[in-house]
Amino acid sequence: MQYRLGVTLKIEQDQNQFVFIIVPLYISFVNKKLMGKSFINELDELVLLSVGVLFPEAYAYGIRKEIKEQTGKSLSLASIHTVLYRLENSGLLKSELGGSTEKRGGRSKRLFSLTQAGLATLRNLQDVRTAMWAKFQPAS
Amino acid sequence: MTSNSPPKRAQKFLRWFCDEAWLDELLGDLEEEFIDDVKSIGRRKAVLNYYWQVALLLRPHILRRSQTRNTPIMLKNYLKSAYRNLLTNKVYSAINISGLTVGIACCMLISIYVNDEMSYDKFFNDSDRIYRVALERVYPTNTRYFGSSPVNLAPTLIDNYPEVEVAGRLHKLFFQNEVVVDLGDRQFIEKKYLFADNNFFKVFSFDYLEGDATSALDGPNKIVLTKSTAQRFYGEEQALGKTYNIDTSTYIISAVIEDLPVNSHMSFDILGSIHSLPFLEQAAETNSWINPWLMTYVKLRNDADPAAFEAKLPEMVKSYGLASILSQLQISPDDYPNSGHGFNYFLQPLEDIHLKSNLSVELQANSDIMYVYLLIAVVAFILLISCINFINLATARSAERAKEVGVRKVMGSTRSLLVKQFLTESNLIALIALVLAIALVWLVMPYFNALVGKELSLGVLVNPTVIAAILTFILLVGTLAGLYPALVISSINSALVLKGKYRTSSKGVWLRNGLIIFQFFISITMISGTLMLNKQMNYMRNKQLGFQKENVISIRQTQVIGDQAGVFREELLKIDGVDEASFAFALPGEFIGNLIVNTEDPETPQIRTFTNTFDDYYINALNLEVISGRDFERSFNDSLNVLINETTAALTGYVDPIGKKLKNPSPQQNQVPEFTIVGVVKDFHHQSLHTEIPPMIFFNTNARLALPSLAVKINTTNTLSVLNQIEELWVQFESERPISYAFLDENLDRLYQADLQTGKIFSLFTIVTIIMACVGLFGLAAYVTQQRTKEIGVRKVLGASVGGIILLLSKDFTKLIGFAFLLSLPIVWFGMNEWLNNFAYRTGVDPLTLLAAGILTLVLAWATISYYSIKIAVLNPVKSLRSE
Repeated sequence: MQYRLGVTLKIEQDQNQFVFIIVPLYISFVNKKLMGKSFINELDELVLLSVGVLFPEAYAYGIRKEIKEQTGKSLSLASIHTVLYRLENSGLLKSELGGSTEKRGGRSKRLFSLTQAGLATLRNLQDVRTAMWAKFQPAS
Repeated sequence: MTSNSPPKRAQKFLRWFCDEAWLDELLGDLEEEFIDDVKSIGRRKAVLNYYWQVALLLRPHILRRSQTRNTPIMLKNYLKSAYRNLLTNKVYSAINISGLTVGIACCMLISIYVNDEMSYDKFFNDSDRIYRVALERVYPTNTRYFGSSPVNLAPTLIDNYPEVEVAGRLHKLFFQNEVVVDLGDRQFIEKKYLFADNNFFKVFSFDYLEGDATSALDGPNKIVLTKSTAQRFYGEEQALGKTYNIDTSTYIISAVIEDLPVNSHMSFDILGSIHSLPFLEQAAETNSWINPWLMTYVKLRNDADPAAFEAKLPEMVKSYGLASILSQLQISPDDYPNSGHGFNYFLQPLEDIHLKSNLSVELQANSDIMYVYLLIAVVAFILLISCINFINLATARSAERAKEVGVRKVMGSTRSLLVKQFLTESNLIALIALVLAIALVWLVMPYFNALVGKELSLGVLVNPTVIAAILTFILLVGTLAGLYPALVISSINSALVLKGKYRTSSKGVWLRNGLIIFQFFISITMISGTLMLNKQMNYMRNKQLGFQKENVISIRQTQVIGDQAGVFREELLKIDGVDEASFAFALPGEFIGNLIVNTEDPETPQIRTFTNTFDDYYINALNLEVISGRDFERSFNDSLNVLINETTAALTGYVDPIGKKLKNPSPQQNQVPEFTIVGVVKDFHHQSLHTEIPPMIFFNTNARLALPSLAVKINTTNTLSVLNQIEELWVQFESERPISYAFLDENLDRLYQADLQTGKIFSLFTIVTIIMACVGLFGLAAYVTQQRTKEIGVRKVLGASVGGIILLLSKDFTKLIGFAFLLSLPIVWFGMNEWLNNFAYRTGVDPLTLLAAGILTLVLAWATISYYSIKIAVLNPVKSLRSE
């Protein structure tokens, strides 16, 4: 959401610098509003799905590999981490520490799993899509 | 490092910034990725990727939190103890805060002022590619720089040089500062009446309220008004299409533009068309390239190189202007290169004109970048002094703070915590000072505006960038001023302090003394600078100008009297209190034209002289002195005779100039080929004292027509009644046009207005500087005397006198000030000599003035410290020795 709003609101260079204070405030306000209604962006959805797919072994690096495999897009660990952190804060994911392996120098992983709300959000999203695709008749 | 382990440094970095809560899992994830990377893309790239991924992790939610959680609590504590410290010693706090307040306020005032000076002409669109074409005119005997150029320069540039997008022209009436506009029912005397061509509007962007740019000035009878002028003339009615008269010609208003901002090098209320001026039309028709009569502004194309364009200008003069130059100077083409005449054009960037251009013909007096630099230097000094006060007081107080620091250390405070505490304190003081400074600036703004003659406001500060800059600056000042004391005081050995063995560190003394010397060095320099400046001003105002400037009334626009001039003058003389009245082309201080003349001897170089024309009474009216020959006289017809001044007489090379001729080198049909010298006038200053007395020639009015200026010499103390009678008389002769008069000495003072203004500004800031230096000294004296209380007590018991003790206490400071004085001597000497070289007539740098500055400073310093030294000297030793 942050991305989209950030892009749609074109900030012209010579506009008053005031904009740089107001716009982020506005975006975060809108984000909060929209979050409550469980609008999530594409990346959020991908991460949620990956968590579901990888369960019970869903952790940041694993999710990153999964997304790369499925979409070919290479995301940084930091972006994945940020999304996970946000989704956990908004209650769509939960996490616990566990499952260290030799490969990680014996360090523990943070394992994520979907909450009820997370699952419901994904389902809802899918239902809406299916319903809309059914009505959708591509031209030609 | 085995090939499998990730880069240690990146890990260390991650550990440093990453919060504990995330660290373990992130390290794990990163390591897993690293191992995969080593396999797929090789170790080198994997290491790079590792660094990159770590760098990307610098996000707010990942950053270490433990510290930030503690900071507010500690900050609260710092603030609390800083607040208590401020209250504990109110004198100290007041000195510190007021010192910084004044420093910051001065800084703000000057910044606003400098910002305004730098903003000139930048509001025009494309101001960065607009240039004025100026002229370096080389004469055989000297060189003059004109901001103006010939009338056909602009068309030539447009037609022949593709890099010129457009070129516009602007003309200012040289001889006549006022134009009388006749609206039919009312008349206005307009002082800002300029003339432009239609291209002027293509060079400069204006906002059009009525009409538009395309045809604003394309005909001789068209005019453009500014908004405020239109309102003055017609109120709220539409001005477009209305007409008014000047003399007998009718003009039609073709556009109304928004008022020009004040920060422009040009200012006008009305723009006429240059095509309405016959002499410009004639010059254009004859393709004259010799008279620089108007300003030419060019807008270069985006891709044009100004330097390359400028380099083409000499060639342009040869191709298009040479024929005209040769015919008017009467030189053959072969002689021209060696004739000593030259027309070199150069470009002045529009944005630089206000600060960097000071040429012979300007639209209005420009400022000087030197003043801007000087002001910046002065304000830097003031700020420095307030920081030095801060440092001095803080280090002087270290004995007092030492106990506090000792206890804090014993209780487990680390040095870094102490430094932070002191810095919080100094930053708090700086912030308080900032708030007070803003209030102070707001209060003094009107007075400052009156002083500098501008309309500045605090409004420019309300801008996020500026606010951020100010805050950064304040915190920087707070930190810099607080850093040294913080480091010194926090390094105190707590064991020594608590045993009671600690005395003020002698380490800090040399620094403190050094800083005092520096402060007083600046103070003395500025005081002597200001004294010298005032001395020069007084010199200029009191210098014998060679004519009487007091009790002379100058009446302008007198040409409207026309052929009634003689009668008007007779009537004037009948008024009780009027001694003499004389019509002249220009009175001293007013613009005069110039002329090149030859002498009888062809070997003598041509003389470029200034000319004035007046009637038979001018010499008498202004108390000028004819040192040989005779004055113009009624009994002679002097229309072919001239008076010259001493400078001209010397240049002619005539042993006895009376009766000799001066020749017009290129007489036109209707001009007189030669004049006879009938008298030599003692040199007097027609122009300001910035320039030397030039050669001058004075013509007699051959017709009994009124000239534009009238000098009336009066001899009475009842000036008001004389003025009233003159006004009544004026109405009888000219009922429509109001009289416009001023006193000659007031007019002349205006020539030095810029200098006077600078003088005032510097005096103001000098006073601020010396006060701040004394305030710092006052605070320091308080602590020094406090520390020596016991010593003084013992001395008194042993029989020292009060006077002896005061002397003892003053001695140390006197030495420092003496040293500062010695340091400032050479700087003031050379600096002032440089500055005075700007004036053709100057006083010398006077050692007495410098000495006066030194003594003044010393006396002020003595007075400052005397409060404490007397207090302690008269103190009963019982009191000071009782304790312990």
